[in-house]
Amino acid sequence: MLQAPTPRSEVEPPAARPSGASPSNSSAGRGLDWFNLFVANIQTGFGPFIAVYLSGQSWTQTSIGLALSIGTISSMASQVPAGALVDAIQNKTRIAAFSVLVFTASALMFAIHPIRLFVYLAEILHGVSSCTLGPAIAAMSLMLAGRMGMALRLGRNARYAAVGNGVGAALMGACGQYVSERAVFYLTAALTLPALFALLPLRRFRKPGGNVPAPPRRPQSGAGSLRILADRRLLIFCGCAMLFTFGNAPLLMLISGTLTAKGSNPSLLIGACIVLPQIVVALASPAVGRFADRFGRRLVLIIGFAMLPVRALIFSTTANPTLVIAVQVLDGIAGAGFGILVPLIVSDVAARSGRFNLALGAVGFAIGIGSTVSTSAAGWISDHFGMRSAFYLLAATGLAAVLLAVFAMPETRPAADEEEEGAR
Amino acid sequence: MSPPVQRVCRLHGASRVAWIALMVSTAWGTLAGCSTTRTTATPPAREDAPAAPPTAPAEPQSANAPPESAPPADVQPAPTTNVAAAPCVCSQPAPKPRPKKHKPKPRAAVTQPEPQSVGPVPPPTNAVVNAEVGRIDAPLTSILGKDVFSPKGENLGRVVDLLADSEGRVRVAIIDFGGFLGVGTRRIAVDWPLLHFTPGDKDKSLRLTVTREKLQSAPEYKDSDSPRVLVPPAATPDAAGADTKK
Repeated sequence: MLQAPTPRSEVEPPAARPSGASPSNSSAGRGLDWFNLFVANIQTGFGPFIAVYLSGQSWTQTSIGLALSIGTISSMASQVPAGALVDAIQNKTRIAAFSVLVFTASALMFAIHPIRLFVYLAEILHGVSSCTLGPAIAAMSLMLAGRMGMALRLGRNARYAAVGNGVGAALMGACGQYVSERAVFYLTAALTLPALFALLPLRRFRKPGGNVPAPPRRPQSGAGSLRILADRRLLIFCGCAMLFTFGNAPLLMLISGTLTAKGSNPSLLIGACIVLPQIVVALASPAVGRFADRFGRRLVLIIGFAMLPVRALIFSTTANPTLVIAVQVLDGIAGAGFGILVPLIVSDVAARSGRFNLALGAVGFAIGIGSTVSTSAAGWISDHFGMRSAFYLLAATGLAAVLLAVFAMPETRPAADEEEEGAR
Repeated sequence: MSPPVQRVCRLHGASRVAWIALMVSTAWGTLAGCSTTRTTATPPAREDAPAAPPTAPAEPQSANAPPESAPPADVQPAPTTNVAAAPCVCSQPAPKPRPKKHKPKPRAAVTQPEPQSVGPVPPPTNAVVNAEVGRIDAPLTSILGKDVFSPKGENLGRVVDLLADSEGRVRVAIIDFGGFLGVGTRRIAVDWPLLHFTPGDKDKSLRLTVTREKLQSAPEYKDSDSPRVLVPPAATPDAAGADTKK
């Protein structure tokens, strides 16, 4: 059920999809909502919790570090190729289903037999299939909503993903606390089933409407890929995204380390710091999507990015738990903006080129670099120059992201009824 | 200075001392090159030390202490506590700046396993030892990844790493504390004697005699040669929560 009639689905220019395919469209939309929710649930299980679990399995810190690095490297390495792969495969729903099945397998490997071989393998599988799943979700959204309806659709995606993140964190936190850490991975594996069910209407949506094949795949040459990857807007956005992630990724880690040292119930406080922004995202996302449609992507980008230096500066002055949690609301706003804008700007830039997922993979790669480098950099700086310096660095990076967005990033919103902007 | 010495003897008993003596003497040769040890005179000849049988009586300590009591003096920079090297004092009253904090708990029999699990490693001199299969005559408990509980029964985190000194003795346990789903955990180094073992207890085999608040406010452990460690108070034999930071 699309809130906005898709005026023209530029997804595949030649045979425009009948814009009023409402009945199956609406159930497919709901399916996508639920799918976003469950996927976010599942991803919570694969977060930093893995380190906790493995250390409980008598893994040494070195091996855990190695396992996590393997995961990071495999996901970084597969971002762009996975995007290209998703571009090349017609049936995005099938990719999504397959990726989720791979999640099931890796969760079970963690749960059943966490020996090195399986853990490393699970990390690799998870890293790679995350890289196919993200673009697949974006591609299904594009398929459902069309390029013009994309902002609203992504707002909904972000809302349900945020609910999934929040619920997942609470659920898995409770599971690890009261059942067992192993059970968290069984729960993760179990949650892949409803995710697969959620995909069913999407499959049905595609089948009858056989006139809705995957997005166009016209330029099959490598030159097309290069042209997209060299698109100035995309490159600038990659830079913005990298800077923002660089400043954003270690922030929660740093502040929650401080909370652990101070607060009376640090685990609860950290849980709140994680869940609260998700609530904000869930509430704000649809509005952010509409806002991006009405006032343009750039403004949303700038406002979202501006939250980061503010947060970092406030964190540098206080570790008062109440204030920290309150400031996390800003994280929710930034998260909603960023989460929506990444696929949105990419779809603005690349939706018509048939290279949407490749471009998305490129942005994912930039984000991956930002977060990987920054976590070590921030850790190193806080060790050597103190926590405050680390916060200053993150604030400065956030400010740089804002400035880049203000001075270099062009507006990418497609013009109302013609997309001469769409440089393909 | 003298009380600690006595406590050492009481705690570890003769067999403990003998063990240490063996380990120290075998390890000494190999460790001579270690960056932290600046020892010069390390005659490997001492290998024959009287300590071989773990049941050796208490006397050996005077026999093998003298040779190494001198070098360890400059091994000292490490801020951690000294558990077992104290016997050396017998021969040379002056050398040890460290023995002040070290507080064995009454659990002599139980504390024994851990040096052995870590201890028998030292044969890496170039000579190969003719090892045999046997049994360690004590209840043993696995440590890595085990949850640690306060005396009040709160879960304080889990052991994620152990640090040994240049002589192979475990000196520090790294506890992973706090956090939510892995976010915001802090690693804290605690002095080995603060940990107590109940191998029989399936669920709570490790206890840490420190309050949660102390652990929480301790400095975070960073990989380094001389980490800041939560150590027991200098004089008081026991206190849940008392600590001195180095």
